[in-house]
Amino acid sequence: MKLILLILLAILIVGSSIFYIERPHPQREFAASVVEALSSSADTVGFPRATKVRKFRFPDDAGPHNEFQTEWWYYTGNLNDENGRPFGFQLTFFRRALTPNKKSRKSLWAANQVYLAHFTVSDIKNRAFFPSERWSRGAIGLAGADAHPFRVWLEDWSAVAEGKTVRLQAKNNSAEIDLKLTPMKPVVLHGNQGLSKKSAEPGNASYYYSQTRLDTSGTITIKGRSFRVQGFSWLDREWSTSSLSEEQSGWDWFSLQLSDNREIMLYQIRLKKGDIDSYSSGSLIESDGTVHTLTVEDFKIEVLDRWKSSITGTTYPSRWLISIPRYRITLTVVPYQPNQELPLTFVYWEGAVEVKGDNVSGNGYVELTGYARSR
Amino acid sequence: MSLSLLRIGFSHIKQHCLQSILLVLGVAIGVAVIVSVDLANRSANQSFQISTESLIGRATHRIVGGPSGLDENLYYQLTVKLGLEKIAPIVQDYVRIVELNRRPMQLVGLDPFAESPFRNYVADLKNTIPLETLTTLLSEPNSVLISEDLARSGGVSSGSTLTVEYGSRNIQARIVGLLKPSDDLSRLALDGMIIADISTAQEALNRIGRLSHIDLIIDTNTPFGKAEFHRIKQILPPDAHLELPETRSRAIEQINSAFGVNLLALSLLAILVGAFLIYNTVTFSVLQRRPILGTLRALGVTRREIFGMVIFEALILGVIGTSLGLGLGVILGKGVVHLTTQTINDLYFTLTINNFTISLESLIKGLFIGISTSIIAAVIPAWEATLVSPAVVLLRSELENRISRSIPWISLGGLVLGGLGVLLLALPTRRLEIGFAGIFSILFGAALLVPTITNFLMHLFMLVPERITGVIGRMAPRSIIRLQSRTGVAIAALMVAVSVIVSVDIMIGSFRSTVVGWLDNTLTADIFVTAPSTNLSSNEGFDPLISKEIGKFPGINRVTTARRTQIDTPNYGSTILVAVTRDIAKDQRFLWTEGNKYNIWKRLEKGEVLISESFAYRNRVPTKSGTAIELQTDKGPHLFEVAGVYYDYTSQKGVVLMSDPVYRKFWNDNQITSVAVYVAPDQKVDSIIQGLQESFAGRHNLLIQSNRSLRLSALKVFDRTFTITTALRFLAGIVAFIGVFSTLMSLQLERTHEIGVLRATGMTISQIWRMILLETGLVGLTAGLIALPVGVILALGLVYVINLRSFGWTLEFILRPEYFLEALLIAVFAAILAGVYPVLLFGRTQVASALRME
Repeated sequence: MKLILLILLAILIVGSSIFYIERPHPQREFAASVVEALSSSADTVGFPRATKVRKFRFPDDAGPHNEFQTEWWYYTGNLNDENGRPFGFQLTFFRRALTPNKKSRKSLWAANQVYLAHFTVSDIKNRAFFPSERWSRGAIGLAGADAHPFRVWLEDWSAVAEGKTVRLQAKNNSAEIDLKLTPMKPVVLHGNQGLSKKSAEPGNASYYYSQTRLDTSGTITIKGRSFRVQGFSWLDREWSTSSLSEEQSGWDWFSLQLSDNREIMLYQIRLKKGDIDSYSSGSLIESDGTVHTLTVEDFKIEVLDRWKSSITGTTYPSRWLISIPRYRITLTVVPYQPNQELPLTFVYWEGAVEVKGDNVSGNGYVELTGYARSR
Repeated sequence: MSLSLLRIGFSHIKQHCLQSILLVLGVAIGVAVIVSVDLANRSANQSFQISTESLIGRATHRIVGGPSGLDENLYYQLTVKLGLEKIAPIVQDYVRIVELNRRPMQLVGLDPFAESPFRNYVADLKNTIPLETLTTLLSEPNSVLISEDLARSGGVSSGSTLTVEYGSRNIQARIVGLLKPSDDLSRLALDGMIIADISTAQEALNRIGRLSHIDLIIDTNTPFGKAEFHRIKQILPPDAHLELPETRSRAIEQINSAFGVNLLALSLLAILVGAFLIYNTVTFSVLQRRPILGTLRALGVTRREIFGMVIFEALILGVIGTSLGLGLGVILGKGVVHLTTQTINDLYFTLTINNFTISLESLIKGLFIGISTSIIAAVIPAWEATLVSPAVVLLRSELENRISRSIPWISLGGLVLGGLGVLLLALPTRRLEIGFAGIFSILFGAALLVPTITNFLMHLFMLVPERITGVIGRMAPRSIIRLQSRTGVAIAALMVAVSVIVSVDIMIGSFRSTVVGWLDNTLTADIFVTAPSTNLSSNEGFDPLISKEIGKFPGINRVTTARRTQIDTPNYGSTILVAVTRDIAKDQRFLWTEGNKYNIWKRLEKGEVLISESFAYRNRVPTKSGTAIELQTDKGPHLFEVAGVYYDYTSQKGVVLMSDPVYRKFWNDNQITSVAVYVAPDQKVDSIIQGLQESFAGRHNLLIQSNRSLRLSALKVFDRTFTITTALRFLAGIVAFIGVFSTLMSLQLERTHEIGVLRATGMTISQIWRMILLETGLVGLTAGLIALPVGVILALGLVYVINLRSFGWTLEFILRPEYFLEALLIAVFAAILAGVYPVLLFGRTQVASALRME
């Protein structure tokens, strides 16, 4: 009987060994940032570049500039409900042109523009963060942007002009927003009359304007529960063909709305060597709308603390001391909650922050790209 | 069990090497057939599942439309207006790629951005392939992705151009990237796929503005999902409907499993015949050792030990044979899976994957069946061995007496089993398994009746005057009757094999002549024009202008067109629609018609439809006046009155036939699938074909065939379908032959002493020759004669029960004398051949040494 058992065993072993196949584990490479991914590895030949100062026209420039390779509509805001419960939101639409010239095609699905949108809600009281992402093509009405009247949308996420205000609508599995944004200040052109240079290379620049204080009201719904909210939002608009250069590794961007009705926009481009690019800059907007352009010498950003994401393992700065000596400004910027990382196709951190100064306080949003290399 | 007993067993195996080898061979072939068929079935099933389910992915629901698909605006409505997130559009059809051996492949057009929740192999497209590739895929017309494996096997690479055959035109597509599947399932799925952006697919498949379907993931168990489901239903236009993807694949699976059951039944037959073989061999080994067994018993070996020894011997041989069979089965399986895939492609749906997986389950099944059959077949002889009483060796004649006393009981059992079989076949069920149980029951019953019939036939033979037969003619039938315990089994085994061969031959023959007759009736035109890549699952077609152009060609009397499409309809699943422009009623054979056959065309023009027999059978459509079927049309569900049920052998799913204007009224589709051309009487068909080919060359890619060549290719498909059946029948025959050969040979070898006595009393070698060959010839003849009626009964069961249940087709039962002749020849030839070796051996044996053996 032993012999038979042995034979049976041998057959079983041989048989089952056939089925043992080692499975490969797919590795994902994450691009440094949304911006980089949208513009890196791309052929920029044939696209116009932001080389010289141009005249901005509204509402034309609210709409898309399809000839440029990359463009975005960046809405962020800090809101509170009637009881003062704080929320943050981000609704961003990215546009990217695939080729300089669209081929004539029969299928309406043939697209030359790809849209990517990010929508997050920060439920600060519960320290919860609800990031989400959508992709689509600018074809058969799935996604697109218009100037007259203004709208940009990706499926049912949208920013649509209703007279002077813009209505934002978006929802994901956990959160939903329906907000109305009304500008309280004139449009701010950053850099040199809206031409924002990102490096020494000519054309490595973008056209960049903002609406720094948008009075915002509406509802935020989290897991079925709705909150009537109010607060301020910020719109950043940029379009360009290429922006970061080889030696640049990422950027830290700050949009701060102060209690004295001033706003500050700062960005510093980090170099792979470890220091800060001299093309980093910013704007200080006075309560009357006057804009002071800030160069890299005008401000200093000191990192006071760091936070490591448990999802991607990436370490981000999480507390800053910002000083702008020329205007006697010293501010501490602290995230309302550390967990505001977007672990999406491209990993970055973008979140609501609290601003504390000597005689001033405020809210803002901070974007940190280029920290997540891979996971 | 003691070692010395084992040694006795082994030495016996060694002494009777040839018999042992035959037994091992018989088991091996039986197991190999089972394993190969099982492997092939599983592999084909898996291929089917991968090719359908991989495309379904994780979709829970699917929105489908008519033959022309869905309006792409519906997708816009669902995503932008309704805000559905887990939703993906697909434009897909079957194409052939010239560079990849013109094998059918699915061209799958999708939206890479919508894919992530659905299909693994494309989900990570935007992460796994370089951004430039994605950019090219989206922006460059005719750019496609294929898997690395496919590229390697086809000898193409990134940048190569592929010629895609679809409809009447070819498209040059460029491979812009290679996909690296992350798991085995994706790898297999991608083996039959070309991935393109939805825009490219729309252009290549001529579906501008249309989608093949829309996939959805909805969790209808949640209130939110339920609400979503209802909102979707509300905005669906009449030409679209929601279905569960499983329902479709289940329907196809059912058809497919019928095919599997058929193959399984044939492989069971092989093992059944193998069991006869084992039984015979073990019985002989027991018989031959009766003196030894008696001695052993006298020495104090218990009955239990004797039983164990015999079983163990059988087990050892069984294990060897089974192991051999497993290996052989895997090799054989590779061939069978190819045939199976081909048949599925010919008859059921387009399989784009040729997958062969060695499943452990199949091997275990083979192992189990092989070994357990060996043991079960050895139980009776082993038990018989324990009956040998110590010291006094039971006389052989006593055993035979006992057997002949039990013959009436055995025969009664046979009658009962046979009756049961007929009853099972007559049961009003549609289960194929019950049908096969009936067939096997009849077969067993007939086998049990063999001894009685043999006795009767032998006595009949003995009525022939001795003048003619001589003394030997008297001796041969008597010795057959005398040795019933052995000859009976041999005759039964041979009879089973031969009757199966006869019945399968009758079935295939009936099938073939039915199809030939049907082709003669329905293929009336002289020339047929189709798209070259046309296959079963595709809705592709070509421009109706081509038919107009053909009609204007000189020498052509008239042309008619046909449109063949596959639609999904809630009540009947996947259904084939055929729309024709000419009066087909007069060419069809009808199972049932509403009113006069000659008024049918008028009815069809008014909007009634004809359904094929398989459609009626599968969907249980009653054949009575006023029957109507509800089909999903592009104008919403519509009731069509049934004007008649006609015989059709083109599809097992069932066909709904209607007049062309009716089809165009209900479905938004202007394509045609084929053009039938009637040539003027004074014209040469071949020269017109040549003229048409020259005229369309370079403009449209068309397959222009004469009536004759179309008919030939149809029959080629038919013959291909039955290749496996024929092969399995052949293998069952080989096992039976081995069985008969080994039985008769052992039987004769056992008679060495008897022959010695005969020779000593003056029988000449040539007389011995005549006696033995007459004996084996009689065995063969008896088996053949019994096999004839049994074969016919089985064939009736196959044609009217098994075929109807597995295909839904009624065949004409056709008997030809050559089937009977063939059966008799096979039986007699096999039996006589089995007698030759022993006779040669006896010729060499010295009389004295034969006698000395005692």
